[in-house]
Amino acid sequence: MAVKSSNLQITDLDFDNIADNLKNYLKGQEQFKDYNFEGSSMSVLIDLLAYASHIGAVNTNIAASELFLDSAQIRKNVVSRAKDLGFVPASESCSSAFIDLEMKNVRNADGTQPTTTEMQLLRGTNFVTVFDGSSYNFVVTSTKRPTQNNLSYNYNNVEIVQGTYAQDSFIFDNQLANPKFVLSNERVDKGRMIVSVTSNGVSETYALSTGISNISTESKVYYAQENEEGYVEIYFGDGTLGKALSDGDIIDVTYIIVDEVHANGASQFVLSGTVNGFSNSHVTNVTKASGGAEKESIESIKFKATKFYTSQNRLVTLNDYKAKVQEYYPNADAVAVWGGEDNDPPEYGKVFVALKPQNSDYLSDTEKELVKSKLNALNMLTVRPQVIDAEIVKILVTCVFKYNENATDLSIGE
Amino acid sequence: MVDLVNNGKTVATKDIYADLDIFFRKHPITGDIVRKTDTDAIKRSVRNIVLTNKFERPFKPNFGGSIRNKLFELNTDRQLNRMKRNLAKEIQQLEPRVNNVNVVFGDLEDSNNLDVTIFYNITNGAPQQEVEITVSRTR
Repeated sequence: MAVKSSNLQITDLDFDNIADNLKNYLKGQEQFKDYNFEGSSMSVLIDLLAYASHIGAVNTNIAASELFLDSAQIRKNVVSRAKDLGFVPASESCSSAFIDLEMKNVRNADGTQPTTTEMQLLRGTNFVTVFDGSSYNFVVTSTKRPTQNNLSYNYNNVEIVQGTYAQDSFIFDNQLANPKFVLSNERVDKGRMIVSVTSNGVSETYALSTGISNISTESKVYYAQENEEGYVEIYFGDGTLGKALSDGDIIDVTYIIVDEVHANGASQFVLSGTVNGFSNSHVTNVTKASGGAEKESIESIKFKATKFYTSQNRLVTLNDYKAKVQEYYPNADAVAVWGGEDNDPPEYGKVFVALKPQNSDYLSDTEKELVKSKLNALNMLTVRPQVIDAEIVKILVTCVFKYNENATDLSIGE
Repeated sequence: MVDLVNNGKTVATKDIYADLDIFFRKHPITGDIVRKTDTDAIKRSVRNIVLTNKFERPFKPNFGGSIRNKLFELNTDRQLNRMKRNLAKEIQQLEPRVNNVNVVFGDLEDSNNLDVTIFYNITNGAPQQEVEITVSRTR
């Protein structure tokens, strides 16, 4: 062919441009001249070549984009890129509330009264609330022993969470390289998983690992991450970073399946079912339901992962606090952090954190304490974090309308 | 085909149109791929247009006469006339080297296939060309 191959444009990505380039290239020869006619066999070949080149270019472009956190679009790739930075995205979290429960007129058929052990409020006991016209199921998170007062049994500050309990069991097989155990449900609150391992008849509870600095060869920890399908998968230490499991160990994972609609704000709960066969009960709400949230969005992961990496799991600058608070409380609508020196009046040696939850104006005292204690574990010794209520400014808008009364047949009242 | 003339004498001929053979047949002597030239190239082009279904060519969804898609349409005059019109229009639009396109369907009674004959003139070239295509079901 008369045309040099260097004259062939190779930088275009669109189908039409690639086809045009091929046709320009073919202008340099005399053997086949029908490339410009759509019906020609040459045109069929040119279209096929252009199509293959275009698809190849698109795939390359997508693959390259998915390699970087900023440009990745597919969730599993965003999660994977964030993992490179040490950031683990938050899972779905269930709405939780605190209640006081009183079981009234409790007496056995023979006139005796059951013991407080018999009257334990078992984990998984159901409560029901009606919120915004729909009914939601809440369950007790941990077994609670009551205090007895004559015929009444009182359970104070019982935490209940929205959802349903489920359990998965696995058997550890050391023949498998790099074993990971995928939970059978997708919507799992990772923060409320209970993982226990039974080895030689002895059952031990393992804790979720959040950092490697305190982990030894015998630490009973497990690691959790989101897999490519969006399910939570857990795995265990290798004998160096956490205790390694033995062949035949039984792994039981108990977790909450998070509802798709969160009943944040619910405050009226009723016992559904019985406690030791008794159902005459009265529930007093201590803290409204809050904290229910979906798993972290792609945009949120992209935003927080870089902040998390910058903070390096320690709290020094204000941005460190801001990133960490959002990790500890993913349901935050807004977070403001300022140093005590900027406070009015100044309070040196303190860092103030104001959190506005998504579905209410203020955090409960329990939630504040939880965030504060977590911050205390990472901050500098001489700085004390204070979690305070945000100042909510509500704006009342007064509008003055001007309109052309000749342009409508309606009167002002209509 | 055009004549190359030197001092009033024809010294060679040159093809105006030249295309690949879509079946990629080998030339028995040279071993090269066979070329279709001039009227044969145009005939092949018309045939390609008629036999290509719409949405078959990448990024050219409107390309093609879609005659194979019509194989199971009702055998009515109304339907046949519409097919003829559409086919002639497609050929006229997609193949600028031909004009006066006329489409004729063969006897359709009990033949279980569709005989299509396309008559056309080559612009600035040979008149009264025709292409015969028979479309039948494969199973």
